[in-house]
Amino acid sequence: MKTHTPNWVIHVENLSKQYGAGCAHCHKYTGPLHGNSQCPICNSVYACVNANFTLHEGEVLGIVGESGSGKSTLLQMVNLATRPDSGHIWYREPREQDADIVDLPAMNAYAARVFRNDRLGIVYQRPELGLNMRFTVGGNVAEKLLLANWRHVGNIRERIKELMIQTELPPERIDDEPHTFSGGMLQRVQIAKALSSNPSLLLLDEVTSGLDLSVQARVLDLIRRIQWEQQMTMLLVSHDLGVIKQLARRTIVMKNGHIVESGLTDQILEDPQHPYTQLLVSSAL
Amino acid sequence: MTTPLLQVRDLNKSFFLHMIDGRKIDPIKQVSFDVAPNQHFLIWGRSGVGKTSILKCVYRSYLASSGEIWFDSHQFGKVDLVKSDESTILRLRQHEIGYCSQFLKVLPRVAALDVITEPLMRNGIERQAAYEKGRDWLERLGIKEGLWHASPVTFSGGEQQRINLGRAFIAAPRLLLLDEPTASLDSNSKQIIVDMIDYARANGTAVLTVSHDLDTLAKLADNQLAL
Repeated sequence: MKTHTPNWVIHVENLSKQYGAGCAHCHKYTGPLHGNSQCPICNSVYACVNANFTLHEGEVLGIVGESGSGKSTLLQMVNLATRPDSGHIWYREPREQDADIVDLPAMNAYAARVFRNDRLGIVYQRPELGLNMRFTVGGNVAEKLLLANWRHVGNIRERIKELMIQTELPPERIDDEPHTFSGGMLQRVQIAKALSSNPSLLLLDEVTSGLDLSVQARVLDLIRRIQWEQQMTMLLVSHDLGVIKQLARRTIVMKNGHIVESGLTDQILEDPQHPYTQLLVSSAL
Repeated sequence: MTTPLLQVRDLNKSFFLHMIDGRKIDPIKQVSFDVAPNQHFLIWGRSGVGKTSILKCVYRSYLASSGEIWFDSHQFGKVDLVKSDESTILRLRQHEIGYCSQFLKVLPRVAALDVITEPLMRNGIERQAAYEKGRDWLERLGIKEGLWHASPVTFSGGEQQRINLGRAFIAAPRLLLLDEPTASLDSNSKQIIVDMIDYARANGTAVLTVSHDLDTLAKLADNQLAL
């Protein structure tokens, strides 16, 4: 039987991260069956255990789960901000025939920094994590461009204004400080910064949590438009099934550091198999 | 003899309701049928016999518990929709298999013209060409021009259902799955749906419909399965 095998951008293999030394009893008390990711004997936390998934070129993959399920840890490992204890994150440059395959955690510090600035973009739930609140909006975006080796001030300002228009921000406010912007506008500044170096992968960590409904809708519409126009590959973490449903074609469900279910988003929502996914779907507002 | 486009063999579907002590419900038991190209196949029966579940297993919104669903794909040859990987299913949904649910579910800020042309643009058709075709379809569906740039959530039930069906028909899939397409429609709207099914068959689309509206749809059916 023939199948469709799209190019992949990220292939995660047996990825694990734990905090603490672990003990002989950890496996008896942690995991989705026990409803716990922390060992009560040694207090070690199993943030991510043997995660496996593939992210294809041009797709949005959703990661859903409750707080503490390990979804942000997984995202931060792909973002090279957290080092996994074991496993691989294979990366292949999209739209390139015969592109080299790189294991991201095995990169040296310099290569990782270059890769992060050049190929990745990330948008956090809290703007202060993604932006320096003491810099101007233009300064924040320029920071990423400078790290990606942009040097001409005029070109940098022109690129920033272009990005501000693209993300529906008034370009005349390029020299204003972030604290003078609303929550929704700050998310758009983060998106502008993330897109500045033309990344091949955009990571979105709870981007609409804490925003009011109309602002959420505007930010989601912007992300959808960017995905549509640029065929951008995205990894989207959210605890909100509504957000996942709007943006992701495929979804991974996490609980207590483990991937408990994965599939087409409509199948996860309409015919959830795992008890936790059924609980999650039935809890949606 | 024509090769069937869709072959469903010994299909079973069980739901395990973990939140109600793992209760098991079996809406589909040993269902088998074939749908030929250009055929209108009607599955009918009272509410709760598993008609929609069959349709959703074919579209893979539900995971079949056992059995086989063979689809004769242009892109991949014969494909078992029960066992195919997600990428293959997404590809088939984009190009060959369309699904129309019983109710239209759209974002309340997207205009009718954008809703109806979305499948065309997803297939890479330029916006202007897609809009042109979309306007033709909206006219054919009897949606007044003044409503084309409004969201369908503000429309009447009949108008919403016509938009819903138009969106499924516009991309001319090889197999179209229709869930209760005439439910709660007046006779004029029903006639539009009947004409659309006829038009789709004439243009090479096989239509698999589940319905309890035998009065309207039975005369259109080339083949039937009663549940």
